[in-house]
Amino acid sequence: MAKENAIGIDLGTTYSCVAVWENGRAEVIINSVGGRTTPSCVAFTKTERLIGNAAAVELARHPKSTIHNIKRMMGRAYNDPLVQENKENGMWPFMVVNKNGSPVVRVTMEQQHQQQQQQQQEFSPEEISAMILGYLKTTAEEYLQQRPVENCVITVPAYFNHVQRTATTDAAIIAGLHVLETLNEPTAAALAYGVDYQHRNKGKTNNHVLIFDFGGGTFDVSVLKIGPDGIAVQATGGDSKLGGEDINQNMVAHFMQQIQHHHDVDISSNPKSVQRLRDACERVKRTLSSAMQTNFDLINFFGNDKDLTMELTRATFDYINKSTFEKTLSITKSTLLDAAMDKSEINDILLVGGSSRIPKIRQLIQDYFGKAPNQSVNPDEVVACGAAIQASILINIGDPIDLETRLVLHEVTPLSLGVRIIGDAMCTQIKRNTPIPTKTTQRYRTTSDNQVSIQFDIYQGEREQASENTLVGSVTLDGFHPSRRGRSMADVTFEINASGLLTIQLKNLDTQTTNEIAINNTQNLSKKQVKTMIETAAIFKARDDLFRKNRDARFALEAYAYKVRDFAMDELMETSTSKQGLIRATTKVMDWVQSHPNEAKAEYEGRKRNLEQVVKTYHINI
Amino acid sequence: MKLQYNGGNLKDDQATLESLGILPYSVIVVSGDQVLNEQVQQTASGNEEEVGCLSRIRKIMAESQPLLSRVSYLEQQQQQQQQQQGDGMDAAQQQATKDELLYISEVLMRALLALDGVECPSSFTTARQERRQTVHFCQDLLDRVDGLKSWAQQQQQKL
Repeated sequence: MAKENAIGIDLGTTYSCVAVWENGRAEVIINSVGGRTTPSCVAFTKTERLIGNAAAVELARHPKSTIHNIKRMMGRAYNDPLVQENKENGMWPFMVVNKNGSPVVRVTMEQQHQQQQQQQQEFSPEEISAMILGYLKTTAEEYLQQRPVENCVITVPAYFNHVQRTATTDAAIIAGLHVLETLNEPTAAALAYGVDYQHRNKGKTNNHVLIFDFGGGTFDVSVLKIGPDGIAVQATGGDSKLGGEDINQNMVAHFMQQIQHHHDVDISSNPKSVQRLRDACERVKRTLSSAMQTNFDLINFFGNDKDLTMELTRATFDYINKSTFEKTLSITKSTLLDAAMDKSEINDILLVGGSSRIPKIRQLIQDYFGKAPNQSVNPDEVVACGAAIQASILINIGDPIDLETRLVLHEVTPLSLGVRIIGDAMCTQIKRNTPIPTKTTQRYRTTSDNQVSIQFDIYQGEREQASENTLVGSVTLDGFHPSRRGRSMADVTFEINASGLLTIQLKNLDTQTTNEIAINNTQNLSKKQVKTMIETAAIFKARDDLFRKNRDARFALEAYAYKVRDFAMDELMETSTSKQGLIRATTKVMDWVQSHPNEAKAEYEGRKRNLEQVVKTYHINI
Repeated sequence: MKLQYNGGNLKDDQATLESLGILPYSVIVVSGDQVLNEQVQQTASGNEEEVGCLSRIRKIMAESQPLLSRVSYLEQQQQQQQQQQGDGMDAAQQQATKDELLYISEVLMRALLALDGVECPSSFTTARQERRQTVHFCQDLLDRVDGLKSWAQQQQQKL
């Protein structure tokens, strides 16, 4: 029996990465254009659907039909303040509409063949994510020599709630993947790191590790405990809108001010100039991670042959980003506070995300903790590698090394869970960052005279005012004997099992009857919806396959025509009739291909056979 | 110059060998163009790197050059239409023109950004001169495309 493979997927906000356990180590799989990471981007053009690098290129040209930043929408309601805020801030230049309370992306597509008319199509965040996952799946299959790959571990941010995790799993199902586990991103990073770590420091137990994840658009901090029997998440914190983009924005603002000062020109109204400046800032930022000083010149920036020449030292760079950098440190501090730990208890600091390469960040961390952060892993790939390690453990492949270091994962609840009580107050039953499985019971009393039933609204979140949090379920317990307020009581038990499923048991103490609910979220897709989406994905795949077949046939025809022409040009006598005949025939074919780029496969193949016939008539062997 | 390992380009300058999975006896492919002596002598600085800059600039130029004829063609169309003063284009034609203009301006903008990314120290006068010319070429063309864009806009409003 062929050995079953399982892949690890880091489905990121801006970039995604896929890795597999091979030859005793996690290996990042390179995509079709040679990238080790793939932009989390899907574009719908006139003729085809593009995913990854090809889609990212379309971003500037077709902003309305190039879908990106979809992770910020996953598992959220349309009225979620974050969705509304992102929508207003122009995070999504494409159309986001409300469909039964959930946000969906609306794309206008032009049909090439069937009907020459525009057609609108709607996609849920799950479907878009499924397209990215499908691309990664294909990438893995090609690397593993077309073995079908179905089993995978997908990482999610530690703060993702049940709904968001289920949405991620649904996306995988639509893409034809079987999710072995949704793993917390910091845990995955620790895993990639922990395997190395435990090898080097055998015998040491109970290490605390801080994961500092500073990416393109988000910042996350997590504190983990690596014990002899596993990894436990102690606390998480972060800012979902803090990242490398902010650093670029600070730099652009700085240079604009300088330009205003020295040249007395306001360039903010000229999008082309701003774009050139923004592009230069990204380069300067990268250079300053290794150089102390750099300069750039933008030719004819002001017109009239006047150039812009600017210089930036690392010191100035650090100064203009001071508040951004310090914000990461203050979030780190408050996360330590959440974990009830002192900074001296942290044994190691692990860096994740591209922005963690900035020297000042590393220095701030070093100054605060009194020790240098660990830099032995590539921050862009570490999460996917951790997922691949976990996947290999779950399906039991690999060599004795990973058996020896097999880790049991203890997850924690990402957000507090509680019940709304009188005055819209939140009565928290399970605090956030509680290791799971866990179980707590609390007693509630009636709040008015002769009350015969109590409605329990279950909320998830950290706000004091219950209605500010996310409502995850609602259940009514009735059958109380009419009596004075506060005389009737009910016990409510919250239980989270090892796989993170929340069940709530209610007990009427008057009658001793019980009622139990499992939290099913209305935000998540129903089974039927998932099924329809799988079917839609299949249709898309069929369309893509057809397109690819047609395109391959076109390439084959073109390649053959060029080959014949080259042969005729190079090998045949100038005056021979065969030369002229062949050149005429190939030119005709090439002109036709130019004007018919989207014909059916059979059409191209037919033309190729015709050309082969022509070649045959001249008794030439090519 | 590119470093390749295991079929992928190595992009992270700061990565450790360990994190990239490079072990003893691993094979790393270095790919780049070989510089000829004559080419070096043609540059002002006599530095091999300047040849590299020049070849990058010329490659960008080669990609933008063909756009010139496409812009000229559109301008001819514009003139013809203004002379005739008559009926405009139909909707499909308009859409095609709009798409073409968007495409051209996008390619030119990308060329411009790529040119900004070619780092030429001040001693590389040959490369700098060439870069300056190419930037001007792209910018002039972009201005012409902008002119055509507003014309296309007017046409659409007429319909």
